[in-house]
Amino acid sequence: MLKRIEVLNLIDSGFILVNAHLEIVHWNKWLEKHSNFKSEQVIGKKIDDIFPKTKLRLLEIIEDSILLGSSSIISDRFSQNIFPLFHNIFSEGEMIQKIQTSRLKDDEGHKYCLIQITDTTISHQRENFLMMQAKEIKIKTEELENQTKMASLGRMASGIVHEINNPITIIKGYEYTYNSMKKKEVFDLEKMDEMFSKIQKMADRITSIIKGLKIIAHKDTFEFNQLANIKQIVDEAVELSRPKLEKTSVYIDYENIADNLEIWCDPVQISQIIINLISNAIDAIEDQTSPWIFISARSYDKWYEISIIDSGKGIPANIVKQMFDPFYTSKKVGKGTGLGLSISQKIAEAHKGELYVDQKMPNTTFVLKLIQSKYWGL
Amino acid sequence: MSLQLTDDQLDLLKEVFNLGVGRAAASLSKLANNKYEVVLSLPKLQILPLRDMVSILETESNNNITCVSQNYTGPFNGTAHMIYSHAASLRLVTMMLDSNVPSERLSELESDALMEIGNVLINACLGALSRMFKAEIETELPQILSGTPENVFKKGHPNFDLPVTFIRSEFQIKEENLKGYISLFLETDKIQKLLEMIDQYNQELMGM
Repeated sequence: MLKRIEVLNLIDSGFILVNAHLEIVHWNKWLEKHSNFKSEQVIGKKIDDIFPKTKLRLLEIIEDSILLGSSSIISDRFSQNIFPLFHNIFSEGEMIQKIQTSRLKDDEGHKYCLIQITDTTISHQRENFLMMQAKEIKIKTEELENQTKMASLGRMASGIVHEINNPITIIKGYEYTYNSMKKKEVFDLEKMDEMFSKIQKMADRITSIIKGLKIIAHKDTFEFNQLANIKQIVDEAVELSRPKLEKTSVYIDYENIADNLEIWCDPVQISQIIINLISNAIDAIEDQTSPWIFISARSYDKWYEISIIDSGKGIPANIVKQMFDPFYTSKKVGKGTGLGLSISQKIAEAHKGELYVDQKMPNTTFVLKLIQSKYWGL
Repeated sequence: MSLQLTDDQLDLLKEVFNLGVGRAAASLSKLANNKYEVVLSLPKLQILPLRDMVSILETESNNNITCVSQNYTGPFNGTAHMIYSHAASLRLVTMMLDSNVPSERLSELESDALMEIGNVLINACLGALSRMFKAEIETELPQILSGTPENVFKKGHPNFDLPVTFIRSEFQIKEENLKGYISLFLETDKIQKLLEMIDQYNQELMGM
């Protein structure tokens, strides 16, 4: 047997053979290269005499192997340097090792434990490198997400400043006019009435911006206690949009909505979403030669889907990504607050519904998805 | 299968098995620096066709398992397994290695770690049997297999209709609510030998 064991010198792994008394019987050439010990220095010595720091677990495993015949592995994941070996043959660099133990018996029935040592330093380094890269990618992705959030926040802040500054400038202007009247002691009552009514309007505009912000920040509550009919809500929304529609040549069709579609909701808020979508559609298509808006509703699974489609040719994907952000607007200065869509989306979400752009449609299509009344609260 | 175990036989088998898994639990906690509490349920013994056992595993594991197995020979031969659903095995390794990079598949070194965990468990159980019966149970080096339970077990067992003795204990890491099994397959022609050894051991106990 001991002659046959010489073959272990030809293999590119470490092999230690120990007998039942834990004495080293064979120490192969590979180990001579990767440790400070030559074979003749260790043969006949106990393994824990050579390596006083030999882990108890390894000794138990060797014992179990000899006594019970069990084969074991010690991977490099939990304990990396079982034996004090070097990674290269110039006695440098700690070797990370994987250990396997098995039992051998010689012709006389004597029992031995064969300890095989594999150098896993390189694969360990490779794994660590990959792990580090994965971590870096994770950090970079998070940074990018934060930057996008900050950009949104910046846009929102400059939007707030712009939207509130405008009415304040106008109010200040009237204050100036009033002060000059006071100086001259000439009070034009008609003009003053007009001024105060405009100040009132500007104050209302500021109030409406703040109300919008409150909805976005989830500070406003809704009343979902009304069973409402979708057709009636759309009728009402279109009626309220009439003054704006009549100033344009936009044709609107909403006649095909069935009159038995019911939802639990705050109808004023839902009609607000539809008014807002109609208003956006008008702004986008009013300059076309034959602009139109088509509103339909259909039942799908447990939902009703209300689609507001206009004659526009869809919205570019990069704008769709941002258009629900507060204060994002593509309209001319002073035309929109940039709050409409984000408020509408918050209202839809508060109703456990959704508001999104259907990008598969050839025409610009917004879909408002709301839960059917019979599934509400389930 | 008509083979019925007496209460005495079943009790002893459970005791042996529990002793083994108890020891394994201690080793594993040591491996993971005592950070996790490992809880083992009382082992269950079933004698059933391999086909039925495979379908039990299919339902319990979402039809995807990772299994560390070791063949053993001695007074009775068979295969010992540590079985986890694939998802649970990934969590087990990530947790034991204290790694915060979520993986979808086992890398080479993670496989090694899982193999080591399985090896500790299986050797402790077989070691307990070995010590109690004062008989040598020789084990081969562990191997790791992933896939559907059918594919994993087809390898060593071409005939799915043959009954196997299936001893299994639920192996749970308390903090993570991770559940898996450690199980022993016995070839059924050897079950008689196991029972004889149990009876002999019981008689020795009575005689004392």
